Amino acid sequence: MASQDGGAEQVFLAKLTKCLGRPLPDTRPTRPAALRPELSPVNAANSDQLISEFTSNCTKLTTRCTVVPDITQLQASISALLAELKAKSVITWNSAKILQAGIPDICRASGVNVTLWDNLAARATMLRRCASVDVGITWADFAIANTGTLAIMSNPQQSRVVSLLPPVHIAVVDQNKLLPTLGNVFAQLDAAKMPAAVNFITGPSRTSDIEMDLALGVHGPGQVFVLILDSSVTN
Amino acid sequence: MTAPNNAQFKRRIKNALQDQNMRQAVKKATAILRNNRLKAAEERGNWNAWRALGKDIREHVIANLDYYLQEFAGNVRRNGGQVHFADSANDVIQTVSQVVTAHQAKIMVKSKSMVSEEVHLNKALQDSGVTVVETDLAEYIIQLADEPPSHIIVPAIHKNRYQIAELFSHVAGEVIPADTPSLNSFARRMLRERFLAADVGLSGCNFAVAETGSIALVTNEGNGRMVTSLPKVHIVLMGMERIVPSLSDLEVVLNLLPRSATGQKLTSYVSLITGPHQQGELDGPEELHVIIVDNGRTNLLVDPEFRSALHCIRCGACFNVCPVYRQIGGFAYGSVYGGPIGSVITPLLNDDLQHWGELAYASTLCAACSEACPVMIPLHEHLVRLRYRRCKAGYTPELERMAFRTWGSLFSRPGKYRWAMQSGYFLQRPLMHGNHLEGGPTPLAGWTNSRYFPAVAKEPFRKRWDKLVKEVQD
Repeated sequence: MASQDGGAEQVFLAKLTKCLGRPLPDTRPTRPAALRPELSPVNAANSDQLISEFTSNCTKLTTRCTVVPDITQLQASISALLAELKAKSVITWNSAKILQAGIPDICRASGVNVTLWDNLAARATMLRRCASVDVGITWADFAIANTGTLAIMSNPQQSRVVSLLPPVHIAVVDQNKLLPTLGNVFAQLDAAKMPAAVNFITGPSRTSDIEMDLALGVHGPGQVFVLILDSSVTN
Repeated sequence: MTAPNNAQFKRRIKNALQDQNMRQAVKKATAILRNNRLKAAEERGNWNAWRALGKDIREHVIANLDYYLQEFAGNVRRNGGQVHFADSANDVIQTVSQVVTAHQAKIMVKSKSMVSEEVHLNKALQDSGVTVVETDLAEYIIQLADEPPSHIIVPAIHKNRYQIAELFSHVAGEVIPADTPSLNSFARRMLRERFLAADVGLSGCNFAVAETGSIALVTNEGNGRMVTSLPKVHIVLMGMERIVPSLSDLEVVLNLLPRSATGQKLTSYVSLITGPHQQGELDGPEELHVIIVDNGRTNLLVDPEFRSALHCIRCGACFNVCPVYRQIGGFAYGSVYGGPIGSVITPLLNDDLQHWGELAYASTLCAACSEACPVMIPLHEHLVRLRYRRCKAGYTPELERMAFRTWGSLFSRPGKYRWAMQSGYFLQRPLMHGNHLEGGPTPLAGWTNSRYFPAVAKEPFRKRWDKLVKEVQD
């Protein structure tokens, strides 16, 4: 019988130890230093190269990337995107970066109804609200050049569903958070203090389940836009 | 699991071969997936070095599975999750039912879990009054069709758009057109409401990271994220072998899995879930349960000859290159796991060579599967070994054993051998068509009706050899 008490675990693990025919190791097993195959040649110091690799990977995924030199340009780009998308409503995080960049204000100024993710609101109401808006705007923690990926860590302000439920996702990312590979982002994580969720987002939601015919936006956003901000707000 | 016998296996193959829709669909899909994989491997570069690294990681984990599971379980708890250990299918069902009952859950949304297929979870829960909704588009389609998955990566590989439109139209109560956008938008509408209404989310687990206590979920549609973000409770079903030691190992297997499965560099979504949501977070589960499942896996662990089959990362690459799978599709195997890896693990997971051992013959031993495997599992060698064990255990048909006994006896003495070949030459005459044989009694006809069976030569090679040697020497 499965149960959560330590007894069940002991019995289960003892069974495996017996199968392996040796005592349970009392320290973490060691391995000969494995040689990692060469990753694609990206010079981490060269940000132009990273941006061009990221952008080219994003383009293949239909994600549109724009490099914006400052907050003013960032705001103008968001405003233009919302107009292009004919968005009537957006949801965005109530996080320091989003607020400092004046994103909610610029959305309102564009005549769009703005919802700020409120972690103290009623759960079901907030989730349904999020599912009903046109666009979700987030600020990614990292981006990965090699795969065209955004990485977003959950916390009370950084809701997971703002990048998931609306049909369009606009993400801002600081240029200095653009790293070459997935492994580079893993290296930024503290194994002892992980966020509850780290979501790696590579392009729009996609499926080829019907006759291998590609369709975007089956559950998550069908369109993803990335704005790479040259100078971080906090800098 | 009901054990099908030999006759049923042959019947399933016959049915599969007559299903032209299925064969067309499988042929098309596997060709695309196979080519995508080859392109992605080339783009990555040093592919065999990556495979070797993947193999090393998986070998190391399985050799220390007890240690890493203990570390993983400890870290899940440290992060506020609950860990359960399930020996059998029944244990899994009971544990899930307990969680569901404790929350008086009415609706469960599921992202893909092969373990749940293994233990027939949906049926058990539905029998107890819970509405279970598969949310991966393909899984949703086959749930509506009341069919099991026929491929581990593209479970509805056997269905064409018209069949899918018919299923959707039936649910909608109106005609849903058979074009891809209409079908997808219908599924989005239907399932979106289910995600928001669900009490419990259940997912599988692509990888579990021991050092952090994290679950890595790899999806393209985003249903995995929905299932782990919207319901208040998240249950993870995890085969006990899914572990990797550290995040650095995870990077390697995440380089291998999507490329091998669909030819993508990375899937649209990879979620690294560590514990339930943290204090102050509104979305994400309030409760996280990880169920670590044996259900026959120890049969492989205890057996050094087959242990490497536990290295599998469930990419499905072996299905797409298998000349047998590509003809018969997934249902003919009669098992939750089809394809070459399914033929290897099914008899072992069930500890039943008598009823499942014949799957080892659903192979041409061409070794395309072993070559495609991103963690270098010698699948074709396992298939040969299973045939050997099945034969040793006496599960081969009496006629076959008799034939091999006779063959053994005739071929062990030169005199008997010469006599046998000479008799063969005369006996084959009624079946001879030019230089090959056709027709014949039942066991022989299985071969001669579909393949070229060369006739015994009038003048045996031994006789010609003497002349040939002379010619060469002269």
